[in-house]
Amino acid sequence: MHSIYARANGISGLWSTCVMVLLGAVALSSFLFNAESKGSLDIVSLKVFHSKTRRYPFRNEEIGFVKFNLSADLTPLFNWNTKQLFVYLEAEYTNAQGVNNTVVIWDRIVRRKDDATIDIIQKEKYKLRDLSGSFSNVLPAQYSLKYSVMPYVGVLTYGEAARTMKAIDFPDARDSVS
Amino acid sequence: MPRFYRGDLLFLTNPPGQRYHTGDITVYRIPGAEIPIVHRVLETRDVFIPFDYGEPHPKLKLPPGEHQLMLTKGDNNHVDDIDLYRGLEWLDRRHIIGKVRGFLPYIGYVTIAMNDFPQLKYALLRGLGLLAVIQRE
Repeated sequence: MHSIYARANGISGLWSTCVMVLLGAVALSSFLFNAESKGSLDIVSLKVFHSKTRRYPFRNEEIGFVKFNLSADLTPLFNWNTKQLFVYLEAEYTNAQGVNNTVVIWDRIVRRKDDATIDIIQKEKYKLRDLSGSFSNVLPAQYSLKYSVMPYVGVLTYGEAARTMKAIDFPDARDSVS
Repeated sequence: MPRFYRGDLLFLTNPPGQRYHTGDITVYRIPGAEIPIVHRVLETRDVFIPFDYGEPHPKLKLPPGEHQLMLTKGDNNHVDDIDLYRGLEWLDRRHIIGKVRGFLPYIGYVTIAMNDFPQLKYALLRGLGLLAVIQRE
């Protein structure tokens, strides 16, 4: 146990064990922070227009445009092991054929605790469309704000921060003003 | 993906019957593509194709049964991944390799360093070979 090789082997073994234990401890420490975050979400307006999408430029489809009022305080989710938060607003609805849909219409990456309070009235980032191309036979939709905590080391966690009080019906489609 | 760097180790799970949700980070491979893509699910649509269709559903071209159709998008991209799907309209369960559950940064760097610098790999092999020869246990 006195050759350079044996010493190097011993040191590197000890070093890698220490690093692994440290990373494991950091990952487990995330479970000590059982933070939850609450907020409120209202839909200001929901309009459906006849339009075309980038995906299907030759099909006439009905596209939903949502304006929402969101306020949420996500600061409790930031701890020393939080790398960033991914926050997303999604619409959940079932259509007449019984297809369950969950569609993300807005998202944001929050990298710092200072940026973690959200108080906005904004339009959707991603258009809302249905598989069938029409919202005429679609049941009312619930909207919810969900988040995903991405750690430096460890397990990804998910949660829900806000939800609309009641389901919101889709209006009839109109032609957009051109 | 933001803040995922080369060398990070991702832990995936893919149990059968697992439902995928929006916001999940999935690793998927398009048939014909060489590399898997690690992107987040943007939309999920649970469709059921009844068995009494004589042919696959005309619009969706899927075999009968339950399908969870998904659309993904990279967090830093402005648009969804449809251009990466090589003609597929939706991702199906069978394209998904797994869902990212956990995360170890930088661990993969040793392997990457070996692949990017083959001289390093040969030097290490030569060093080990030398040690094996002169070692006397």
